[in-house]
Formats: sequence, structure tokens, C-alpha cells
Amino acid sequence: MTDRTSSINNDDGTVVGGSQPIVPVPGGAPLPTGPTLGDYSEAKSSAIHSPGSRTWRRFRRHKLAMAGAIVILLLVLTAILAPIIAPYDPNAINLMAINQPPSSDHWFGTDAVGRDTLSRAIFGARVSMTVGFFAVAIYLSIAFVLGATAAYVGGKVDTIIMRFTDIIMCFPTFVLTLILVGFLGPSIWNIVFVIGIFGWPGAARMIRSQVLTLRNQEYVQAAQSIGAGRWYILTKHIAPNTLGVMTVAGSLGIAGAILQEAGLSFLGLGVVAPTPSWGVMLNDARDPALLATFPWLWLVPGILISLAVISSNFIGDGLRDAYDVKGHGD
Amino acid sequence: MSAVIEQPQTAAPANSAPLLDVKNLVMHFPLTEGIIFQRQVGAVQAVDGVSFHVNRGETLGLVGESGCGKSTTGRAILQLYKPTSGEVNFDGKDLTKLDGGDMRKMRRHLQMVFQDPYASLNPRMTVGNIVSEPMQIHKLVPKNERTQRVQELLQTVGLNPYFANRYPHEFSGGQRQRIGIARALAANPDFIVCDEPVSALDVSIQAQVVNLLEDLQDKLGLTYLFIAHDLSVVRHISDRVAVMYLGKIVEMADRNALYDDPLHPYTKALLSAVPIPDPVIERKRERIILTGDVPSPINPPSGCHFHTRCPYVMDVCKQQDPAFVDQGGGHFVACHLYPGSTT
Repeated sequence: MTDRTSSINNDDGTVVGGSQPIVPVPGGAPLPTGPTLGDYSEAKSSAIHSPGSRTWRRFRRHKLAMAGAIVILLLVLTAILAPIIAPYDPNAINLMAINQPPSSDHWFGTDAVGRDTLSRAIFGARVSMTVGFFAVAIYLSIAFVLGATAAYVGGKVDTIIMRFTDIIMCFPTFVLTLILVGFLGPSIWNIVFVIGIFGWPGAARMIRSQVLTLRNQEYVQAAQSIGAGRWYILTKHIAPNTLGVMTVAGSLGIAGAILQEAGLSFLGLGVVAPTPSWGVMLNDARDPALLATFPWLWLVPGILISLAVISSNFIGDGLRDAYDVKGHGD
Repeated sequence: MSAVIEQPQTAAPANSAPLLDVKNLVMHFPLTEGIIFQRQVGAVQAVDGVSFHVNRGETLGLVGESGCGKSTTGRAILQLYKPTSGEVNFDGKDLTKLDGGDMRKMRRHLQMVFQDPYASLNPRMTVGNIVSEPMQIHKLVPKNERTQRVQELLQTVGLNPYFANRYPHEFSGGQRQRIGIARALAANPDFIVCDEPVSALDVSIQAQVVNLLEDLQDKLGLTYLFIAHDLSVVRHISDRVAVMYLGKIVEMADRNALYDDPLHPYTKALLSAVPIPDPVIERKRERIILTGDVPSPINPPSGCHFHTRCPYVMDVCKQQDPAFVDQGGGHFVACHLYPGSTT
């Protein structure tokens, strides 16, 4: 450490950086003390763009995804506020007004025992949204624990967990679901449970591959070299960076869960009969005579199911695009 | 410079024992086959018996071409990879024998600056959180003083202290590398492994970062292991230089001795490849062009690893691994062209 003052044009004029010419740093390059690499006032005032806000900005540009998000948001609000917005009691039988076509009293008509279709559809949103969100919450938790453990611990643990995942994936899930619901009895929480415990393999694979990538990132090694423990690295560096995969898997999963619930309810294995659910309403309307003459009975729940499923799929697509931009850029 | 970090006087050159003493470090990565029942079918011999020391306040440059094991050496010293065998004595303690908890406590004294300034910063953390992470993990600075300390550190590496609440993606490569350096400094380390810290940067930015590293060394009494493949950068920053080829150090000497009077044929070939920024001399430069490729580290050649490409190859080179011998004045070389290689 002798000739450190001579800085860049040292010795025989060897230039730092090899073959290319270089901009000399004048005056032996003292540590910059002033605002040399940016203006302080600008740094204070301009907005902070967190990774979250950048993702949100890209998501907003995805028109279909935004439309989907609005639809899902409306459906969730409808589910929460159902008793307030529904014009009638969804289970109130009114024999004076059976099989009525849409009118100003009953916007979407009434069914064979005079129940208001609109009110039933509004309360049906509760079932679909509950099943969609809770089932996905259950299976994402399972998927994260198994996927992250497999990738992070590795070795034999990884092999065992992933072979188990393959086995679960090979099961004909819908048949198993039917059998299990048959055992447990039809109820909304049983459906949530059953969809939850069979839905995780796909998401677990996605999370595993993401964690495998993250584990070898240089910033994870940097944390290791600082002295961070395994648990600290998992919770502070790896888990937050799986958020993208988790939300994409989740929003696509909600669509699947809503469909499964409708299917089970349609088969009579879902929500118990008088409780309004879109699947139950479809089941009630499956009589061929009703199909032709009273189309509002199946059109309303049918369209709502499609709308909910398409919307959450669009959200999933939008999220995937929004998270996909790696590193820098806008 | 008001915001200079107070460095305890432990790093004073009064203590003559080397800060880092690496003895016969070996790092083999096993190659396995089979899905459930795995068996080892071979090993990548990335580092194959490397010995060197780094004195306090000194910079040891480690050069070599891609894949010769120089980065692996750096990471094995920091125990980011568990070395297969050998000793890494840091300040009198053998790091390879420390258990997980003790090693984690030790890590605040040894830090690393990474090659890729884009991959080495977590995109979801603010610059402030990144830089204060070592203090948080080692509980070094009281919580209420961390913000101020982060600002001091950012200023020390030449960044605007108000950048603390921004995210890495808002910075250029050179600025990110400064953030990485600030993080390495946060725990007041004695020793920093710089793993190709300027290779990913523009040439003009390289000079700034190299000068920053030098200034920090002077101010804070740091010791560096500077890994690079750019010979000019290494010459500029290093006090001594070690040349690696296929997992072994072939030559190690004081900077000027090595660059002015290289002994090993590989070092000669490497140095002859550096362009000289003077057209008159450049035209007279004679290049020693090596033929063939670097052999695979899975199955390295017998004897001297370099014998397959060496222009002076002899029979003994193919059979016997040359010893690493001091040829006078601390100029070590492992080559059969010089006396003492066949002990």
C-alpha cells in the first residue's frame, strides 16, 4: 500500500480496466463528500417506487385483468352485503308468485316455489366466494410449506416430498372429492376442506421451483455471508420473493375452486339444498321443461359462475405478466 | 469527510502474523447419479490444494481464467461452501472447525463484495434495509441509531444518504456495487473478499469502484482478497498477486516482481495477452499463444495441471506435481523449470 495516492495513472501508465481507454478520475479520487451522484433535494422529494407499486402499475395496464379484478371485487362486496342488497329473503316461499318472468318486482324472475332468483343469486355469491378464497388459502399454505421445505432442505427430503406430490397428482381428484364429501356429509366447510387438501400439488411444484431459483441467488449468499441463519433467510429473503408465484397460483386456483363447488352442489354433494348456491340453483333448473320455458332460472347462476371463473383467470394472467418483468425497467 | 467510520485499532499493522492463512485448501464438488439412491461417480476438483496467506492491511490479488476456481476459493474461505479439506486460519482461528453458530458470529469480521450488482441485492428490500441487515443480524448498533449509521455508510461509499428508502432497481450498476460495498462495511469487518467486484461494470465506473475500495482500505485498515480476471485491475490494486490455473496456485509474488519478471509459463502467457496502451510498444508486444482448452476439472491432467498446454513441457511435468517453492524474495512458483520442484 505505497503508491495509493497516484490513483489511476499508476506506475508505468497501466490503465485500470485493461484494453479500453478510461476516463481518469482527477485528484486521486477522494471519497465524494458532496452530492456527487445525485441531487439531494431530488432524492427527498420524488416518489419511492417500491417493487409492489411497480407491479401494481403494470397490472393496471392489463385491461382484462383490471376488469376481472373489478368483477371479483363486486362479487365479494355482494357476498358480504348480501342481507342488505337482496330485495327478498332468498328462501322465502311465495306461492302467489311462482315461475314469474323478470319484472320490476322480481328482476330475474322467480322459481317454481316463488323464491326470488336475484336474491338467491346474491346469497349464492357468499358460498362461491367463501369456497374460492378459503379453499385456496388452505391449499396455498400446504403448497408453500411442502414446496419451500422440499426446495430449501433439498436432498432426501426433497425427493420424498416431490414423489408424494406426484402420487397425489395422479389421483383422480374429482372422484376422491366425491367420495370424501360423501363421507363427511355435504356442507360448505367440508367442501372448503376437501378442495383444500387436494388442490395443492400444482402450486407446490411452482413454489418449489421458485424457491430453488431463489436459493441460489447471490443476495441469498450475501445474507449467508453476513451471518444470517437459515430461518432468517427463508422468512426475510425467500418467502417475500415467492409472493408473485403465490398470487398467480392463488387467483387461478380460485377459479378452479368455484367451479368445483358449483359442480359438487349441482350433483347434490355440495351445499345443503335450501341454502342458495349457484350450483344448487343450476340443479334446481335442470328439468328439461324449465330449461326451455324459464331460462332465467339457469341463465343467472350460469352466467355468474362463468363470470367469476373468467375474472379470476384474467386476474391470474394479469398478475403473471405484472410479476414477470425481471430486474429493472419501468 | 466527517462521516468516516470509526475503526477499532485492532487492524494496526503492528501485529505481524498474517490475518488470513490458508493451508492446502481443497474444494471438491461431488457428482452424483441416481434419483433415490445416489452414489458418487466423480468430483469437480474446483480447488485442489491451495495455500497462501494475506497480511493485515494488504491486498492479495487472485487472477486466473474463467473456471479455474478463484471464486470457489473465495467462497470456501468464507465457508459459503464447506471445504473438502484444508485449513482456513483467520486471526488464529480455523474457520473450517467452527460450528454453525460460532461461524455465524465470526462472519461479521469477514465480508464479501459480489460480482453481479444486480443479483446481489434483494429487489424487495430498501437500500436502508439492505445496508443495515448486518447490524440487525449481529445486533451491532442500537435500533434508533441504525438510520444514522446507514446514512453515514452510504456517504462513505459516495452515495446520497437520502437514497436509504429507495429500492435497488432505481440504481445503476456502479451505484448498486457501492450499496454492496456499504453492506459489506456495515459490520466493521477486518477482511473483505472482493469477488470480481468490477467485472460487471463499465470501464469508467470500474475505476471509481476500484479507487473507492482503495480509499476505504487506507481509511479503515481493511484487508482484501481481490479476485479478478482483469490483470490490469489486479496490478493496480494488489500488493501481492497469486495466479491460479485449474484449481491450483501456480505463481505468487509481490505485484511488481510478478508483472515485471513472471516465472511460470502460464503467467508469462497471461501477461503477454494484456494490450499495452502505447501503440509503439504495443506493436512490438509478443504474444505467447496457448493452444488447446483448459482441461476439465472433473478429470485434471496428471502431474502439473498445465503440462497439456505448456510450451516448455518436459517428461517430469507429466508425472510429478511440482512443489510450490520460494525462488527468493517471496516469489513462489510451482514449475519444474525451476530448482526445488521435485522434492
